[in-house]
Amino acid sequence: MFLEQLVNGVTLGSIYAIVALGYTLVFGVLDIINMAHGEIFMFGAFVGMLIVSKAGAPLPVAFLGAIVVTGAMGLLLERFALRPLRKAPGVSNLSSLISTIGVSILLENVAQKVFGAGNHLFETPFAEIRFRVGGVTVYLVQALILFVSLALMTGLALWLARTRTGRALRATAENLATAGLLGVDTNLMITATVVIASAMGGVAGVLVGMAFNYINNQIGLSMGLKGLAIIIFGGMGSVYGAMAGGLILGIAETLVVAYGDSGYRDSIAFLTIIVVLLIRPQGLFGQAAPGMRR
Amino acid sequence: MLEVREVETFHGDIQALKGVSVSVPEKSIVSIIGANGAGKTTLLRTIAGALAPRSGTVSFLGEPIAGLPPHRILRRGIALVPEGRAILARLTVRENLEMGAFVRKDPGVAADMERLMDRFPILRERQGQLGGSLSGGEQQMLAIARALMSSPRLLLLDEPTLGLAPLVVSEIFRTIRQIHAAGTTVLLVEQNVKQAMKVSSCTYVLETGRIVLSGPSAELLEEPRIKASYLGQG
Ligand SMILES: Nc1ncnc2c1ncn2[C@@H]1O[C@H](COP(=O)(O)OP(=O)(O)OP(=O)(O)O)[C@@H](O)[C@H]1O
Ligand SMILES: [Mg+2]
Repeated sequence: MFLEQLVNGVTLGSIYAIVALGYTLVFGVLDIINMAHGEIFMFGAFVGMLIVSKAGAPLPVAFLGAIVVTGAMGLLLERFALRPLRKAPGVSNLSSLISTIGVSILLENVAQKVFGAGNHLFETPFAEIRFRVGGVTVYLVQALILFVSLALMTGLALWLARTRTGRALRATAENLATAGLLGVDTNLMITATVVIASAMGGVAGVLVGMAFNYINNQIGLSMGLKGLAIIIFGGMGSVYGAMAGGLILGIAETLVVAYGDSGYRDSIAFLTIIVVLLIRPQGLFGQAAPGMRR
Repeated sequence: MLEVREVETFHGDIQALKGVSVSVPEKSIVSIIGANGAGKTTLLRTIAGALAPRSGTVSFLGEPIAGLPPHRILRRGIALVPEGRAILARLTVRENLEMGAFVRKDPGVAADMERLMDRFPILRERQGQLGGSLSGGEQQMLAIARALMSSPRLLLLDEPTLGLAPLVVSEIFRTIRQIHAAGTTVLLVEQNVKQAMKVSSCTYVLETGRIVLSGPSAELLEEPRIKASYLGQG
């Protein structure tokens, strides 16, 4: 029973981690929180739902579709909501933040108009298939979610650590001006980051559809808040912090529901943050307060 | 090789360069001296593309480069060692060097890395350490080595000896001589006026955004105005 709950928690936590990575990557290069990330995630879920439930196409197509649509949304967001503000002289980070809030409201309204307010079934053909591993019942869907999210996290970590572009992204995140002087096209790097982060949000959307079997136009908001909580918890801009934070939150939430009071499920995220920040203000893996980073 | 003509650069409303002209011949060392706030950093950053001049021209190897983004200028062969070194603290020493070669696609990068580590043994020793953990002098060496990794034809150095102990200062000047001997042209901004003038063939004196004096370094060393204001000799 406990092990099964743990599997549930890790599954949920790995989705949280993917969402939080989207926030942390963008924060790393731009020093802003992309408040539209939750809504982009939600669109990923809806695109996946349309492909799987409405068109009856297989899951890989759903992932591909969600990646393409949310990646394109990231591209548009950067091009029209972030870049013009970055170029303007004397504009503070706060304007970009507000700009992403505007985009998030717009996206939520569009989703409301197009998809309505109710729940939509997200049907995966093998939702009932399960197997036993050493006395623990695991659903195929869970195994798949774990596989996809772990592959994504490992891939991202290796890419950042080992490749030339990954190194350039870390350089850009640490110091935009220096990276530029070293020959990095920082605008391209920022665009790539926002696109990658958004596409990861899209993948997370499909994973959430798979995990919960239904979606609605509110999931962007709640998942967005949790993603935010996780990056504060894990340390702003820290990739490993987002991964660890996501997993910890997922496990904590699941165990509280299983052994405590399910009414507290959503408060857990914020309670954990408050406790962590009291002990370690920079978050689990954080380097220092954001203002002191350079 | 580098021709800066009547360049005016602004920081917002503040005009930092008020029509500056400098020329750097191929294979030379040229130094720029001047008091704090004279505009030396602004000039180097304008050449490197980190700032765009409002008017005037900058040409390199006969082609205009003013207003190009830094990565395009670096590809043409101008590398800047910025004031304050700008080491990437969260990348390792080796990764900092690899970032220096970011614009290069030729197969010679690995060999150049080896050669630079031979010249700066401390960097080989510390290659796995984070850049931020190096001492000031080591960071300056790393900053210079990193800029050299792009195999530039013109190296811009912005106060490379700032805040370093006298022994390290001599080492930096020795390094500058070596870089020059290996065929790289150097434009050097320094507050260490005497040593800068001794290594360079030409010196420009910048005062509040204007070149007020220029000429062969050997002649300027005898100039009374330089002696009084920059060499501390009455
Ligand atoms: N980012 C900036 N914003 C506004 N003004 C600036 C900025 N950078 C430099 N200035 C101003 O431009 C002028 C020239 O500055 P610059 O940094 O080029 O001088 P410098 O000769 O390099 O000085 P130092 O020897 O102290 O490094 C100064 O008056 C400075 O206050
Ligand atoms: Mg300066």
